[in-house]
Amino acid sequence: MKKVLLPSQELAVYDITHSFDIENLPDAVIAVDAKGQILVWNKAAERLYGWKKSEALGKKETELLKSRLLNSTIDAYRDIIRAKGQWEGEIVQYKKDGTRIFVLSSIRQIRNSKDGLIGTIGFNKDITTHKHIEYNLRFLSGAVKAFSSSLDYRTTLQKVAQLAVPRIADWCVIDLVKDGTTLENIAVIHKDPKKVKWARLVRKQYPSNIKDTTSGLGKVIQNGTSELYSYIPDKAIAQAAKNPRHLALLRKIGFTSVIMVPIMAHKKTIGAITLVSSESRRHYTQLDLETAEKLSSRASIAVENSLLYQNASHEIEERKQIEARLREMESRKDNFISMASHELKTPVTSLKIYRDLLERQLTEKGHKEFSKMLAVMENQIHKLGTLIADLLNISKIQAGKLDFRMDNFNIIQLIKETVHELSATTDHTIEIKVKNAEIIVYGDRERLSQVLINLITNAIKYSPDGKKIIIRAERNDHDIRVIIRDFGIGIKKEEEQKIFERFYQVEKDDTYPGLGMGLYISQEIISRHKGKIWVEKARGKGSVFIFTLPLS
Amino acid sequence: MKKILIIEDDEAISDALSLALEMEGYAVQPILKAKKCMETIKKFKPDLILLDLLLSGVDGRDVIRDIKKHKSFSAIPIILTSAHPTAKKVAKEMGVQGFIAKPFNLSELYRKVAFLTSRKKVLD
Repeated sequence: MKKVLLPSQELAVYDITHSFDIENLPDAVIAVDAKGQILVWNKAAERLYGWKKSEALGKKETELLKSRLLNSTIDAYRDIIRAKGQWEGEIVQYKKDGTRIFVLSSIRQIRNSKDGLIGTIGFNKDITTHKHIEYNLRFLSGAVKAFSSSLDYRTTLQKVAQLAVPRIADWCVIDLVKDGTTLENIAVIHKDPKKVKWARLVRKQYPSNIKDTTSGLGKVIQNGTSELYSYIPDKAIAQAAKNPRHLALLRKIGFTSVIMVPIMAHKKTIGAITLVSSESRRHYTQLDLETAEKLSSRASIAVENSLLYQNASHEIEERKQIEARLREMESRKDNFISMASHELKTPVTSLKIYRDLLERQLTEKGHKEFSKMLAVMENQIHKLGTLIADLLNISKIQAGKLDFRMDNFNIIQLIKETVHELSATTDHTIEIKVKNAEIIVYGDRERLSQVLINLITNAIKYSPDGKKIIIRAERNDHDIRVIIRDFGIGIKKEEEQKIFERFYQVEKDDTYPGLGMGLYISQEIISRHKGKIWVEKARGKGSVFIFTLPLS
Repeated sequence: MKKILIIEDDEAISDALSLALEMEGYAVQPILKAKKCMETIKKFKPDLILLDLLLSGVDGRDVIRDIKKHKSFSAIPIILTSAHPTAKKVAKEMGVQGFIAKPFNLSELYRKVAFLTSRKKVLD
């Protein structure tokens, strides 16, 4: 139906079309009367909207193009155009084929002197591509923030899917491959929660076959490449449908355009992001595919990081459990040693009483022939007692319960006593070389005596051919030093540190048996006195053990 | 003849102690369980008690407390024996007259027992 124009309108249209070369302007020019009916529709408008001039004239513009203001309200629009006579801004419109476009519109009022306001004329520029780029960029920057905000990739991917809707898609679906065969859905997002529920049901009833590499998710996941479907003809939907009911459900979604991009981790496809344009009628382009690929590469990094983090924290958790178990075993062992050493002392106690009784009886009766045997027994019982005490000391060191009774005493006196005691049990000559008759130290006399005994008995043990052991004690400006020198087998350079470790034994064979307790205990005692203990190679044969104590 | 009560749950040690003290001329009454100890003290009237700190099931400290509570027995000297290294501290805290760490020399036992049975004086 051809619209009959009022004379004034006709004049206005004539004015407009002739005052500019409207027909050949690159912008779509649309003039409407006061009721919004289209009066002018140029060639560019035909190209942009797909409607012929003959189809457009006389139609209501807002109905034909489903025009909607983008960043403004209709009241604001009216206020501005009334006050200034013109308005400029972005609007959303739909083409004849339903495609959504973004338009920058410049609108002016048309007036003449006779009738006043006749209508408006709009110059519309297609800014769809710009707008999509802007949305894509805004979405990407939001997604990057989301990726860096959490180490849990599920949460992150859900957040990203939420950001995608409605900015770049009407639907965003994210799936991860589970056990290599099935898909685990991480997110299904649409602005309408009812539709989400419904879509989940459809997916549950008709799960994607990821083994099918001919199209869709299967292809993306198996090949690790992206898929862009700018236009989705109904034929394609019919092909994808498994049965008529499925087809009906798919049609209800109203696919306009689809992008699918893989999510990769360690060069393997671990999932996919699907962007669907439906009611917004947006047709994805190569540009959108690039955005989606950028998104998926970010997602891949996030998932990879998250997996690394999970593995690491899993490992840490495992290690913690192992350590706790080790600690428990360690404490059980120390407990055991403590109990065992107590239990071992009991038979030694009765053994010793009987030995002492025997000695008394035999001595009383004049049986001198047994005295050597009894002395050996005494010696061995004493050794047994020392070993048990060492075991107990080690368990105490481990438990941090080795206690000290500190006092001032003369270490020269202690050395003399200890040497006197030990001389009776060995053929070695133990020489004491001291300048001072008295060096007072602050320490636990009994424990330091233990150190001296350990060092001197070691010196004897490891110098089977040497006949002499020399002990020096001196005080200098910094500390007090006790030096024990033997002429024995010496200690290899690489073992100088190790010999102070718990249960370390110098020789693997049985030439010099021992439990590796003495030096460990000695080191602990000395370090608790804030001193140092170490071994040096002696000039010539043998070793030199040195320990220091702070000046009291 | 001085009488000594031995409270020691290890039979081998109890036997050894009994023999050693009998040979030295003491009258000895060993008991392996602390349960009947007050009863035994009443009947036996010891001049000295040798007490093991860690009796199975009973803490030697409770035994000491029970004895000290009793007016007529509180003066009986006690020697605490133990293989446990902290026992010396316990002995001091409980105010007993003597302590002997296991294993010990017989001469040390004889010396302390003789001292406490003859003078009944508090040892440091």
